[in-house]
Amino acid sequence: MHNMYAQSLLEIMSILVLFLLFFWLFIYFEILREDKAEEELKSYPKVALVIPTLFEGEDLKLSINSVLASDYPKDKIKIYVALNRSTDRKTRKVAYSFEKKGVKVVDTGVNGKAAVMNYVIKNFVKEEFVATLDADSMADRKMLRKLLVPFRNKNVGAVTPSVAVYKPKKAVQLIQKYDYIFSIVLRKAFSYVGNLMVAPGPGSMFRVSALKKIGYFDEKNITEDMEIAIHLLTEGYMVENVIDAFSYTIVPDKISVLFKQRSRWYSGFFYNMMKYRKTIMSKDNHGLIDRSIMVMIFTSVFFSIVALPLIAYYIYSWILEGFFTVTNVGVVFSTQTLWQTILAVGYSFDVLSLFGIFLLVFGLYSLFFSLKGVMKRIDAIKDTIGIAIYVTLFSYFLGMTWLYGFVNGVIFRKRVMWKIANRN
Amino acid sequence: MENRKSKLENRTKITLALLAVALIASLAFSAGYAIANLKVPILQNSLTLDQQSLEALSLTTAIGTSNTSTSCAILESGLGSLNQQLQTLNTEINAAQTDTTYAQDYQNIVNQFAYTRLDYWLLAQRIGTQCHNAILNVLMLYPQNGCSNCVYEGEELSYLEQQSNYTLVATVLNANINISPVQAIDKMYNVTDYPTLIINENNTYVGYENTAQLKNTLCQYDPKFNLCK
Repeated sequence: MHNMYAQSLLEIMSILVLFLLFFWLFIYFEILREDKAEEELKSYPKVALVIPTLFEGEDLKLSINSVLASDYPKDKIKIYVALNRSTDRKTRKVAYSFEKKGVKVVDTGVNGKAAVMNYVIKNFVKEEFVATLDADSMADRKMLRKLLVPFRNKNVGAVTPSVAVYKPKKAVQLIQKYDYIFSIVLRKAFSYVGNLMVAPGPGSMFRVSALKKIGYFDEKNITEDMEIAIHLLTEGYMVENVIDAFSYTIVPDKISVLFKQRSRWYSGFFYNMMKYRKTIMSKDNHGLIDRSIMVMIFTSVFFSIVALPLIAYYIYSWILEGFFTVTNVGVVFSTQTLWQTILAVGYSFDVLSLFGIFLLVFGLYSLFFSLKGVMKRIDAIKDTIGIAIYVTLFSYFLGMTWLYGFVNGVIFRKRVMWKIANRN
Repeated sequence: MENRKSKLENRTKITLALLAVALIASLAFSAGYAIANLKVPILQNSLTLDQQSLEALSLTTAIGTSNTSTSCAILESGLGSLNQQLQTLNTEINAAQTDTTYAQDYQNIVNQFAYTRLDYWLLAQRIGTQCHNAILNVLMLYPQNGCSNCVYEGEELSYLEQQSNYTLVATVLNANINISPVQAIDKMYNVTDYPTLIINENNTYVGYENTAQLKNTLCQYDPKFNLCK
C-alpha cells in the first residue's frame, strides 16, 4: 500500500517537473533562436561605473583594466572605485594607482557593498545611467554598449549582462562554468517572462532616476542585487537582460567557500521573498511581477529541494544494501546472478521508469541546448562529462544549499552573512 | 520592450507546456499499462512452466523409487535446475512488484508461486529421504516487514546453494502470506518467531545469521553436507 502511494506521488512529481521543463524549454527555443541582428545605439549617453572594493588586491587591476579597454567612448564613461572603510591597504594602493588614468577613487568611510555604492551614486554620479562591477569581475569590451540598448524603453529600470566564469582552473571552478552558462539562459528566460529578480554585481546597469525613485540599494540587505531587482519590478520598472552582453567573474575555488556564497544567495532570495511577499501577493500593487511565473519559480525551487532527500534516500538504500550484501554474503558473481539482475531491471520497468526516461531525455536536451545557445559549439566529450558531473553531483549540492538557504531565510529569518574574510 | 512578451504570451507558454506534458503523460501511462498488461501473462506463463517442471520431477521421483546412484543423480540434478528456475521466477515476481496496475492479478501469482515453492520443498524432502539424505533441504520463513536482514539471509542461502552445487536446496517463503499451508507449517513446527529455518524437515532454527554462521548451523544439523568438509 505504501508502495502505491509512493509510486503515485512520484508520478505526480514527475508530471510537474516535466511541465516546468517544457515551459522553460519553449521559452529557451524562442530566446535562443530569435533574430540575432545586433541592435546598435543611436547615441552614446554618459555612463558611470562603480566598482565597490573590499580586499580584492591585484584582482582589482583586472576589473578596472577591463572597463578601460571597453569600446564605449572614453569621454562618456566615468569610473568610480568605491572603497569600504575596511578595504585593505593593498587594494587601496591598487585603486589609487589608477587615478592617473582618470579613475575616481572614493573613500566612502562606510562599510557594506550597498552602502558604498549608494554613497557614490548619491554624492558623485551625475550621469543618466550607472553600472556596477564587482571588483573581482571583468566587463567584456562590448558590454556597456549592449547593455544600454534596452534603456530606449523608458520603463526599463535595470539591464543585466550574462555573467560567465573567468578562466576556470580547478575542478570546483570548472563545474561552476556550466552552472553559470545555464544561469545565463535561465536569467534571459526570466527577463523574457518579466520576472528577472536579480541584477548581479558583475555588470548590471541601472537608470539612476529609477534608483533614486525607489530609494537606492537596501543597505541592510546582504543580497542587494536581488533586492534591487525585485524592488524595481514591484515599482513598475522592467528588469531586462542582454544575453550577448558578457561580464566575467572569478568564482570560488573551494567547495566550502562556494557553499557559503550560494547559501548567502539563496537565503537572501528567501529573505527578499519574505520581505516583498505582501507586495507580490497583493492584488493590485505587485508592479510588473507575474504571479503565475512566481508560482513556477517556487515550484522549481521546491523540487530542487525535495529531490535531494529523495535521491539521498535511494542512494543511501543502495549503498546500505550493497554494504550488507558484501559484508554478510561476500562478492557473489555468476552468470545466474547477472541474468537475474537483468531480469529484475526488465520486470521492474513501469510507468515511473518511463517518466524517468522522459525526464532524463528532455532534461539533458535542455542542458545541451542551453550550452549550445550560449557557447555556440559543444565539445562532445568534455561537455558531456561536465554535464554528467553537473547533473549527478552539483545539482545535489545546489539542492542542499537551497535547503540551507530556505531554513535560514524562511524558518530562522536570518541571512547567511558575508564574512569579512570571505570573498563573494 | 523588444524582446519582452506580455503576460498573455506567458499564459500561452504555460498552456503549451500543459499540452506537451499531457501528451507525454498519456504516452507514459498508456505504455506503462501496456507493459503491465504484458507482465502478468508472462509471469503466469513462467509459473505454469515451472509447475510443469515440478510435476515432471515429481513423476520422475515416483518412477525412480529405488536408491540407485543413477536415479538419485537424475533427481538431484533435476532438483538443482528446478531450483534455479524457481529463483529466476522469484526475481521476476519481486521485480514486477513495483507495478501496482494489476495488483490483484499479481497477488494471485504470488500466492500460486508460494504453493509451488512449498511443493518444491516437499519434493526435495521426498528426494532427500529416497536418496538417504544426499541433499540438505532448508525452508526459510521470513516476516513480510521488520526484518531487513532477512533479504541478506535469503541471498546467503542462494550463495551457499551455488557453492554446494545444489546439494543444499533452499526454499524461501514469506511467512505472512495468506495461504493455509504456511499457517499449518507454523503450528506443526512450532514456529513462533522469524526468520526461522526448517532444516531437513525436523530441525528448526530461529534468528538471523551471516554466511559463516549459517554454514556452521547447517553443518551442525547435517555434517555430511559437502561444504562442511
